[in-house]
Formats: sequence, structure tokens, C-alpha cells
Amino acid sequence: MQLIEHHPILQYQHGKKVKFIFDGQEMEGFEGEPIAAALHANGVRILSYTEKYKRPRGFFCAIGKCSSCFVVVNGIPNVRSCITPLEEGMVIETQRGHGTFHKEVQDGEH
Amino acid sequence: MNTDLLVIGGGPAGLCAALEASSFGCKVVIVDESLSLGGQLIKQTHKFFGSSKEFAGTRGIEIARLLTQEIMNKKDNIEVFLNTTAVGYYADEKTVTCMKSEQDFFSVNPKKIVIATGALEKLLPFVGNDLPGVYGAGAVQTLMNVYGVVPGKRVLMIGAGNIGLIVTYQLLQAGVDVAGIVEYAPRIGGYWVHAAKIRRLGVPIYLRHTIKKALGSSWVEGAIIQAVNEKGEWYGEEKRIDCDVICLAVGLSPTCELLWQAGCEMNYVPELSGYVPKRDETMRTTHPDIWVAGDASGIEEASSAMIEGKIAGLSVAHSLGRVDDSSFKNKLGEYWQELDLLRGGETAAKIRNGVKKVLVKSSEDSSMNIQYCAQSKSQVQVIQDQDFCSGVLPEKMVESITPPLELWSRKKGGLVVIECPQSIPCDPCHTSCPTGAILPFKNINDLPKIDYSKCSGCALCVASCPGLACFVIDLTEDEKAAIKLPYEMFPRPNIGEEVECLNRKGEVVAIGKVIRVQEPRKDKTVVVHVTVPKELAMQIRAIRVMKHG
Amino acid sequence: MDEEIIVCRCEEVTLKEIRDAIRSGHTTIGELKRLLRVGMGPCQGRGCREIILREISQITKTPFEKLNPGRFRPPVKPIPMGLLKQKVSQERSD
Ligand SMILES: Cc1cc2nc3c(=O)[nH]c(=O)nc-3n(C[C@H](O)[C@H](O)[C@H](O)COP(=O)(O)OP(=O)(O)OC[C@H]3O[C@@H](n4cnc5c(N)ncnc54)[C@H](O)[C@@H]3O)c2cc1C
Ligand code: SF4
Ligand code: SF4
Ligand code: FES
Repeated sequence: MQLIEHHPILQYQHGKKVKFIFDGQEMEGFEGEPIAAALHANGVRILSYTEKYKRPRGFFCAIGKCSSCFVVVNGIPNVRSCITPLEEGMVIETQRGHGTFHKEVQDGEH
Repeated sequence: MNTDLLVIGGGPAGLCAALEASSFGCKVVIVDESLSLGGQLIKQTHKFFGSSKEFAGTRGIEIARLLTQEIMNKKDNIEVFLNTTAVGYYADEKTVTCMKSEQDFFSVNPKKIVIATGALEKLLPFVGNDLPGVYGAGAVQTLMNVYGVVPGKRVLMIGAGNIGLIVTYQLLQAGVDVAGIVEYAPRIGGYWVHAAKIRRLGVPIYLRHTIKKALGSSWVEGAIIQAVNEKGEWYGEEKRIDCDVICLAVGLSPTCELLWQAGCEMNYVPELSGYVPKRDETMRTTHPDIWVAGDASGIEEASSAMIEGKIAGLSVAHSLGRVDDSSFKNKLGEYWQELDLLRGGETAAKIRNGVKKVLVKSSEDSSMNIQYCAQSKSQVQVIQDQDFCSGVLPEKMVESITPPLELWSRKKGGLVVIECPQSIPCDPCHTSCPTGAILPFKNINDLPKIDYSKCSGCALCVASCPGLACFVIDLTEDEKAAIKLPYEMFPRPNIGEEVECLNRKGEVVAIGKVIRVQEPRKDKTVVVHVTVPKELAMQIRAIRVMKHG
Repeated sequence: MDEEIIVCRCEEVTLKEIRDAIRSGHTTIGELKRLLRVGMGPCQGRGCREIILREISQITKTPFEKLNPGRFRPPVKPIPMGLLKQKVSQERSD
């Protein structure tokens, strides 16, 4: 994992190490830390491909505001991976295109 | 769920609002969408500016810890929901709907609401700006400072405001290479001392440049930058920068959706970085049950966010009849005095103007005699020098910071040299000095003034100054000068070790020898004593440990 | 170059599309939303609204402060449809 080993100011207190699956591959991360951080530490930068132009997307704000970091977690799409804590055994997938739900909600706008 | 007060956002503003209101017996619910309390503070590894009376000289993470502890001590009155987003305000039912863990859904019916939702990173339009690897500065900070994940190998920073400058320094601390900082304006926007810190470690700042393109097909593999003229047109040659992360630090905008939804009257105020609600001096918006505090009310900084939070909490308690009128007015007056002090300096002129545009007088306040947004009288001198504008002290200014030679050359232990030429709200140099050599500040925005006859060379100021702008130089040896300088990198040098000595632009100008390493404040800023050639004493301002082995 | 710059990340709308639409008379956020779906994605226009307003301001020579930023409706966050239904049914059973 790409973790910072030495820091002049900080001491990192990581939680329990857990295993999860990303696109069929087993990976390790720390329980309770955001999914996006765990994926990045495993070298995963692409979290989704966009609907129209199939462009790769990673996270951007990491505080839950930009919705750039959607992944599919245990079958549920549009999960903001930057603020969703990692759990043992989670099955995470790269999201392709829009998930199914949020469009319906948005269409109610007008 | 019913409660007296719902605080949306658990950053410094929200936490202070909650603490203040609960201190008057209000029942408070705090919701925050992140995984811990503290907001932006949990990623700030640097020491904060501001008044020592508040938290100046303390690292952001430490402030977050202290505030969270206080909240935990008030468990009876304050209930906290983390990983919980306030998703909507439904005016008819006066209900806030919240979503926990992206799944569970509940609603809160509070009597009053404080919106302290902080800010969101601004985007910049350029080719490839949506590639993985183009990250907001806050995201980079979260990744490395909260979760200890390496954000990348080499970062290009866009924006030389305080955030861009600070995050650059933090990247260096985490051992990540920074290719440079690109800044559209002809001068850095952040505090000068923050720029000086990274310039002396060799990071270039490209003024009047901007990013044109992120290179790469799956993720960032480089960037194209180019100079711009006064009209904003491209000119000159394109430069290719190798990097795997492009970090955007081009400003924050207040998070205002809930305020719009609630029908608060909003104004676009460029000085406060976006749409912000009109508010009275108690931070109450035009909606009678909704208050605002912190970055959501206009982008500023943590110290003012905390005071705004306290004001909002106090005023909520007052509106619920938990505080009597006279203590309310007294406290409000005190808080405003603190705010005015913070906003008194040269760098806060913008904030003062912005706040004036949205501050409306409340009806209940006619009897009060408080001067909101008082102007300070400090004279602002704008220095145009090219080096100065990017955080390097120009040759011609060195004399003005040089101690008187006849005293200095004989003074065992050395004398202090302070490189802090810009008026900012900050005073730990004075408060840390045990001898009174750094004179008392009349206004927290004053530049430090020195009585050299009192300086003992103890270097306590060196360890305390959040701008890393204090040095002590001893000239009493024959050929060598000893410099005591602040050091916050990894690894720490050992006594007797040879280190590279860097000038204000980060160029290696000598090899020095470490003679002592101390940590006077036990807060991880060490003071390294290094001997250097005497003629370079007023040039060397940083050291770098040479690669071991 | 404009056609390569994505302004609205959620709905993948380019700077060129936005400029063309403004030039052909769609000069409010509301109209652009209907035409291009900008700002209709899950982030609710948090990233792009300001960039689009700045374009409108420049092309129509209207001061930024005078522009209408459009409407903000709950939810602020993309709520999975199931959850909204849950709320409705909960309210009914209350
Ligand atoms: C790199 C950097 C360096 C800085 N350095 C300094 C410094 O040296 N000195 C200084 O004084 N200040 C500094 N600041 C500024 C300071 O951190 C901020 O001004 C301050 O944190 C603002 O406080 P806040 O409470 O308004 O917002 P925040 O700290 O942003 O907190 C807002 C909170 O609200 C939550 N939230 C948002 N929306 C919702 C919602 N809908 N539902 C639930 N929760 C929500 C967020 O998760 C967050 O926790 C710095 C900022 C940065 C980014
Ligand atoms: S070196 Fe010591 S005595 Fe001199 S100014 Fe600094 S703190 Fe004061
Ligand atoms: S020298 Fe004093 S005023 Fe300047 S940054 Fe350091 S502590 Fe603050
Ligand atoms: S990265 Fe912005 S919402 Fe997750």
C-alpha cells in the first residue's frame, strides 16, 4: 500500500486491517477509513467511467460535496466513496455511467 | 427528532456554536457528513495564526481535538451524528432531512438552526480538468494528513493563496515532491511568510501563469502551463511540467444550498468568495430561525469562524430566552471586539468590505453601541519587487532586518533576525519571548518590533513563530556563523552531521554542520543549530538533510 | 480548445456547448439547465454554477452580481429513490 511511513508532525493511527474486493480483486485497507482513501492506497485512481464520453473519473473534493467519486458498493451505485467508511468484505466495483436512482430524483426538479 | 438547536456542520464554527448554546442549557444536535468532527481543522498540520489568547501557534489538528473533547464532555446536552448529511430543508414543515451512511434517512425538527456547512473547492476550466489526479487541495490534505496515503509522486499546485502555499509545505513534509506553484495574479495571494517557507525549500512559484491542459489519458501524467498578460491572454512558450497530481487551490466557495432552500436572502459578494446570506450582527439570516457561521457565511479563517459560531450560539440561546438581555449584549460586544481585531489587518481589508455588504442591523439592537467592522488605521505599503511578490526577501530589504552590527558581533548566543514584512493577525513571536526583546503588539496585526539589547538568543521565538520567520544568528566565532533555524521536516538531522544549506530561493549555497538540535516547545518544531561560512549568515535560511547512504 | 473543456462534470457539458447556447440567447441558468442539463447532476451545480455564471456575465456584459443563480431545491444530495419513497410512506403511516 502507498502509505506515508515517516512524517515529522503526524503519527497515523490506523484502524483494523480488513480485506475487501475491488472489481474482483482482493485488497486490504483499514476499517472505518473512506473507501476512496483505501482504493488510492492500493493504487486505484479511476473510480468510474462517465455516461456520455466514457471518461475516467477519480475523486475531487474528498468531503462529500462534488459527487465525483461514485462507486458501486455491494450492488448499490452512486455511493460517495470519499465519505463512506470501509468495512470488512465489502464488494466494490468501478461505476460505469449513471447509476439508476439519482436521475429520477433530479427529474422532479422542474 | 426534536431539539432546541440543530447545528449543520461540525467544523470550528459549528462546534463553537454548539458549545456556546449548550452552555446556556440548550439541547443541541450536531450533524456532520464526514467521519469525524473538526471540519477543515482535522487536516491542518501547521500552526495557526491569530492571537495567542485564542489558539495561535497551535496546530489545526490539535484545535480540532480540543474542541471535540469539549463536545464529548457535554454529552448530556449535545448529541452528535457523524457520516450524516443534512440533505434538505422543508420550509413548510420546518424540517431538516438527514441521511446517514448514504442509506438511513431521518428528519429533525429543531426550534433553531445554525448552518455551518463550510466551503467547497472551486473548479477551474482547463482541458483535462476532470482526469483522475486533478484533486482539490482539501482532498490532497485529507488523503495525506488524515489517512496517511501518499497522494502522488510529484504535484503541480495551482494557486498561491494560503491554501496552495500551506498544502505545498505539507506535501513536502509528507515527502512528496512539488514541481511548482502556478499563480494567475502578479503576486502571491496568501501570507508572505507561508510563501517564504516553501521558496527556501526550492519550490518555484510561477506568477502570472496559468494551467492550460492536464496531460494523460487515464490519469494525470503532466501539465501544460503558460504565461498570461494583464488582459488574461496567453503569451510566450508553453511549458510542460511532469507531475502525476494537479492540485487545485484556486479558492473556496461557501456551501450555500441549504440557505437558498430555506429562502434566506442571498447576495453575491466577491470579497467573501460567493453567494452568502444577509445576516445581522448576531449571525441571524433573514429567516428568523436560521443562523449562519464560519466559511458558509463567507470564506475567512478558523479563528473568525469560531467567534462567529459563538455569536450564533449565544444569539440562539438568547432567542430561546436562555440568556438575559444584558449578559447577551455584553458577550456579543466582546465577541465583536475580537472579530474586529482579527479583521484589522492589511490582508483582511477584503473581508471587512465584504461583511459590510451583507450586514444588516437587527431590530432589537438599536440600543447597542458596538462598532461592527471597525477599520484599523494601519498603513498599507505595497511592495512591487518581483522576488518579494513570490516570497523571497529582496537583497535591498535585507539591511532593514539586520541587527546593529557592533552589538551583534559581540553577542554570545546571537541575536534574533525576523523576516516578517507583511501585516498579518499573528503574535506568538512576542508572547513566546521571555526577555521582552520582541516588543508588545498594540494591534495583533502589527509587524514585530525588536529591542535587540534584550535579546538573549534563546530561540524560543524560532520554535513558536507559525510563519517560521524567526532566526537567531551568532557571529562571535571567527570564521563561522551559527544559525539557529526552525525545522519541521523528516528526517531530523543528527549532531555533527553535514547538511545542505539553502538560501531564500532554495539554492544550495554551502554545506553546514549541525551542532545542536533542540525542541523547546515539544510540539515538533525543532531548532537546528548549524555552523555556516560567516559571509553567508544573512543568506542561508534553511537546511536539507542529505540522503542517507 | 473549448470543446475539450468539461465544465459540468456530472452531465459532461463542455465550455463550447455552454458558450454557444449563451450566444444563441439562452442567458439564464434555468434555460441552460433545461437545454443542456448543466447543474442537474448529483452535485447540483456546485462545481459549475459559478463558471457558467461567469460566462453569462462576460458574454451578455452583465455584472455578475446582477445575475440570477437559479433555483436550489432539496435534496442537496442525490438521494437514492428508495429513500424518498420510504419517507413518503413513513409520513403516511404517521
Ligand atoms: C489548507 C488550509 C489552511 C488553512 N489555514 C488556516 C490558518 O492557518 N488559520 C486559520 O484561522 N484558518 C485556516 N484555514 C481556514 C479554516 O480551516 C476554515 O476557515 C475553517 O475550518 C472554517 O470553519 P467552518 O466551521 O466554517 O467550516 P469547515 O471547517 O469546513 O466545516 C464544515 C463542516 O460541515 C460539514 N458539512 C457540510 N455540509 C454538510 C451537510 N449538508 N450536512 C452535514 N454536514 C455538512 C462538513 O463535513 C464539515 O465538517 C485553512 C483552511 C485550509 C483549507
Ligand atoms: S531569541 Fe529569545 S530573547 Fe531573542 S527575541 Fe527570540 S525569544 Fe526573545
Ligand atoms: S514573526 Fe511574529 S508576527 Fe510574524 S509570523 Fe512569526 S509570530 Fe507571526
Ligand atoms: S470526492 Fe467529492 S463527493 Fe467524494
